[in-house]
Amino acid sequence: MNNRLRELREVRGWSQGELAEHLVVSRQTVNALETGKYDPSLPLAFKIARMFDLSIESIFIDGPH
Amino acid sequence: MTAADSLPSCRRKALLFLGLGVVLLAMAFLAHAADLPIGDQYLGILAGFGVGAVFSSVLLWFMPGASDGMPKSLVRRYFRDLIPALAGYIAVMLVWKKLLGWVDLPALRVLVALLPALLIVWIMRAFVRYVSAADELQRRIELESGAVAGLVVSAVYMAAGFLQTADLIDVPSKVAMLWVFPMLCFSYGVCKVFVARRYS
Repeated sequence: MNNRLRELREVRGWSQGELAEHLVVSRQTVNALETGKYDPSLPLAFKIARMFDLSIESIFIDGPH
Repeated sequence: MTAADSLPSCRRKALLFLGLGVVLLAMAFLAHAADLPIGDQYLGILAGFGVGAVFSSVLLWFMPGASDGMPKSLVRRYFRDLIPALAGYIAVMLVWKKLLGWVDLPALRVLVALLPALLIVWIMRAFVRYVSAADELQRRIELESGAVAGLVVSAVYMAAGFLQTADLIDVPSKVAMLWVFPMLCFSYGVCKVFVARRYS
């Protein structure tokens, strides 16, 4: 699954570590999400969407990475 | 800046573990070579920890993101849980055989014999608490590694069982049973390197 996480994070000027702190996950998890190697659970996807004030579909795009 | 400072923290820890392992193995080797009256059991514990430290260093060196996989507070809590359990296990193993020799009553012998296993359960509890508190990706890595390790060890034991049935090997049952858990830990460590790489 593709996503716009890196782009949204960079707009806010956050490092991966800072985003990880906001989401209460590890930096390794943020990196895996951004590179599309890991698709988040529904609760984590909702948390990310709420954080950026966007819908899940506008952050995560269905399809192969 | 020294060469060591430029290494990622997981690789610095790997070097630390390697040093510790080499020291422990050297101590065991020298004590054995000098024929010091330490006893095989204590030499075995020393060498076992030495091998464990060297193995940990190899895992840390090759495991991507090992230094930023878990929050530091969680790692600290894990060590706070683990260290007393591990210290208790070592303390019991140092006197376990003597204790067994002193106790004749069957029921009491069962209790003494199972004492190390109880401490292993304490160690497992620390690990379960660690995994339960991890984030979803970390938990997936731990659980996938554990599942693959379980399959590998089961397959190895089954293959060994067939070889033993065919009289091609002769492993004492006592040794085979005692090595299940260490083999599972070893296999879990190796599997984790490969599983973690898939997500980095």
